[in-house]
Amino acid sequence: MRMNGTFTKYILGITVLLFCSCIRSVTVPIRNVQPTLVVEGGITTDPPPYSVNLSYSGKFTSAYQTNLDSQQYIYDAKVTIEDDQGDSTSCIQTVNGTYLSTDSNFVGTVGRTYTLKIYLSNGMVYLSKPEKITPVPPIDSVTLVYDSTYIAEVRPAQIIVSINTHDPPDTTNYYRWTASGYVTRKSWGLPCGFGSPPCYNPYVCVCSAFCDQLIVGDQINIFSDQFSDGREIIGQPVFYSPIYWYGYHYIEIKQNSISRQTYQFWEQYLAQTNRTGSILDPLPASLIGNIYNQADSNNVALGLFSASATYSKKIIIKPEFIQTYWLEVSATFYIEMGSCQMVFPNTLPNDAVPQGWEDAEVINMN
Amino acid sequence: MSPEAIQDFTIYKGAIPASYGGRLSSLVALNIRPGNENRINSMFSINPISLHFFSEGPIKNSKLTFSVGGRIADPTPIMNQLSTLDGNTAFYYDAVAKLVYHFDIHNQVAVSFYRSYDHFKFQGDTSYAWQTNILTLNGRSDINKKLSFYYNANSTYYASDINGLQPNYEFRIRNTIQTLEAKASLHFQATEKIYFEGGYDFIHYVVSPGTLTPTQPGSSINAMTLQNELGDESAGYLLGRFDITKYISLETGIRHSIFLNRGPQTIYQYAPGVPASKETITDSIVYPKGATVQRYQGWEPRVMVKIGLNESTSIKMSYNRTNQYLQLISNTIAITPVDYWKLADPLVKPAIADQVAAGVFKNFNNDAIETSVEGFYKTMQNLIDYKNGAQLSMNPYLDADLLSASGKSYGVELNVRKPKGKTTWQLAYTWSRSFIRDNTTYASEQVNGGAYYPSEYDRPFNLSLTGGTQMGQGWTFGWTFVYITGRPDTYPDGTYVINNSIVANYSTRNEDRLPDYNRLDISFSHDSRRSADQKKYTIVNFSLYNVYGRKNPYSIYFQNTDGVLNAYELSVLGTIVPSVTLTFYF
Repeated sequence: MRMNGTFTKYILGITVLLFCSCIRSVTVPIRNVQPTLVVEGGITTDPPPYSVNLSYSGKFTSAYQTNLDSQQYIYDAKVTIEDDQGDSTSCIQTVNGTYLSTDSNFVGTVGRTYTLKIYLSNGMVYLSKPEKITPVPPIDSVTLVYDSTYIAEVRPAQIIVSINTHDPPDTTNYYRWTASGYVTRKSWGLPCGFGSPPCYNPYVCVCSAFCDQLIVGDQINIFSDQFSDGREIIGQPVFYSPIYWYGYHYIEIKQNSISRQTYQFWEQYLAQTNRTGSILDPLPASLIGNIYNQADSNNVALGLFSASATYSKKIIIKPEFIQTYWLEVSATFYIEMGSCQMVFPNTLPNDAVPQGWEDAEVINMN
Repeated sequence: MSPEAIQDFTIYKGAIPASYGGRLSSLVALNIRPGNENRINSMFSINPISLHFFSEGPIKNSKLTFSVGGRIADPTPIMNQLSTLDGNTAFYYDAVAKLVYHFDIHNQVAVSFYRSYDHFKFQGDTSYAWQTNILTLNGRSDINKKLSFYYNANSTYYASDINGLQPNYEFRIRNTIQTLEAKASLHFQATEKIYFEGGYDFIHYVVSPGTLTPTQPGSSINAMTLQNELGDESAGYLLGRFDITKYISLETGIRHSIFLNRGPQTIYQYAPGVPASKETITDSIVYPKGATVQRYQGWEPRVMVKIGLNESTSIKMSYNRTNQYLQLISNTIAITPVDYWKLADPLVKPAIADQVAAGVFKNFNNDAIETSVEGFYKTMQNLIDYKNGAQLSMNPYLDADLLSASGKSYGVELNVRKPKGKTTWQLAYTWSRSFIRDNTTYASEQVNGGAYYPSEYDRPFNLSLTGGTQMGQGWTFGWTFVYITGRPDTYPDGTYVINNSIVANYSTRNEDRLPDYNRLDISFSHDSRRSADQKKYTIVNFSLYNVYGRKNPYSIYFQNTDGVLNAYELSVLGTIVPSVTLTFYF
């Protein structure tokens, strides 16, 4: 129990608050260990294909790394997803260790249990523990909040998209939300037509100056009803839609049921990727999910295979409140020279509603 | 606790007397000052973030004496003036009070009370608070010249709160430990050279693993209470001290403790042959109120032999076994803030430690220099480790997330002390190791493949030098230097991609080590006393903490910043910290 020394620790803690800004980059010794299989895949009640990513872990370096070295991807495995009724689909490698299911009739169904099988070329076989698809409630409504803060050259002002739903009582439910959407981007554009003068004013040029860019939320949004079973889930943030320019935001939110094991995996992922060196940090650990070697269940892979029921909701946000002077301050960092669709990746022309949003709920923000 | 309120304390590291039990580690026995019988003495001290007060004296004819003290620290206003630290708050206080009634020279009774409370919130949506209350009644009655009766009854309450402040999900999780303890012992000084002591100790534990309460009307959190853990620990002991010859003395004792985990309780049964988890529960057994859920017992022998080789040299050897029925579970690298306590139950066995120690003590120059060298070897059984991803908070199936572990530690301690003269100093050096190993049969749950690995406490080289010099005219110069091996740490040994992000892989635990810690502190203090019996005086203390401003690393962590996985070192107090404290005695 805390008695003696508490005061000293406390005074030290306070002094830490007052004086501690001592964080510096350091180099640590690097150990080399055997590569480990890494799996990230899942099946949902959405239409196929379903994807499974396979790779090996690599050496730890402090070098710039946004992706794996190509030799870490696994190109030659045989991958299948099976259900508890004896049906299965094979998955074919497409690019960079991503395997897509091939049977368009093999669709995730609530109540069924699914298993992933991976046959590596070295003869080893890895299995996932069976994952059951549990039902997911619908999204009741969406709440939008305008966040006027921005970080120059990092992110503009944004609309925080939150959902509200009802947790079913008397069952243990775990949720994961994913979201993506198209938002309007602005570039300097191109001269309009042959012989037009070059465009020197980004606010005047209009030709090829607008497009819709696909933004995929990379945050892990999970929730357990352990402490709020049967209650409303209110204001759960699921997407941060950046305001680069005037225009509509076409957002699709997916509310997924996940298993306890999947929830724990992502909880651990958040804990491990948000370590700050403080006293609140959990001990470092590997992200081991539900994949194990068939011949030796103590030989486990990193990553996981999940099975989810999915409820999708599409909305079109019309942010009519945006004022020109706001954009002049916050948006200029994100306007680049050239044709909009050329300078920004994953874009669509700006002149039409993206496919699939025709029946989406329209929400005006005034 | 306020240092002025402490009458004396004894640290038992090697040979713990049979009169104490319940903990595997070292023991600190502490007595609160009973109060001066002749006059009221008081002190008051102030520094930039805290106040401190203590007073003691007689109330009536020297028969009734009191002591009372307290400290309070509220650095929030200073913190709020620093704009970068918005959202941090902190507050602390403690209070201690004691009343002693002296019936006569052979009989006295005392009541004492202690309370502490602290609360802090770093930036974010969670705050933490702790409180401890202890109420004690103890006394002594001399039955005759040789036989005395000691008694003690105490009640303790400890609570730890985690407060969730996120809108719509406001909550408080509180876990508590309450104990009621009664002790009685007879002390018999048979002859000058023979002493016996026997006693009985009973502790009733109520451990609340967690109560979840919504703290706002609109909170979506459901109230939830985990079932209390109840336990009764009783222990009897007998010890004897024998001065066999002028140079040989023996202290031996035996303690027998019994622990009963009591109902009401629900104990889950897990399928054999697979790792325990919520999914592998096969049955549950419900025990009614008062029923014995699990019984443990253990003998705890203690023995210490001291052999004097001559007037200034002696050797000491000891062996002791201790049992601990209330264990700490912690998921963080520091001792706070997220700690939980668990009583022994059918799955969590009591921890047992066996320690042997031997030492040589020698004084030089008519006791002007005191030296000692001691070695120890300690083994521990049934320690608690936990699985990766364990949920420690509000988990009704916590048993399934815990692992049983074994530990061992050994080392040598060297002490050299110069206690007399204008300049006094002490050198304490310890070389020791501490290891832990998980006992699960499932390799997927084992840390580091089931081999012994360095525990969080494994810091082999530990040197401390302290000293002081009286400079005349009331001035004293004091200094402390410490050098300690860095704490074991876990660095990544690989990377992989999950969710399109580079993630560091940590496949082994505690195979790395933080850089060594070293620090020098100095202080100058001025004592205004002209004579030793002067009652009113002032002490002014100027101190410099971490004189050479070393950035001692507290931790090293790894973060992915724009695709680069970097190692960052966090230093605590990586600068010189000056301080001034004024203390008034009256």
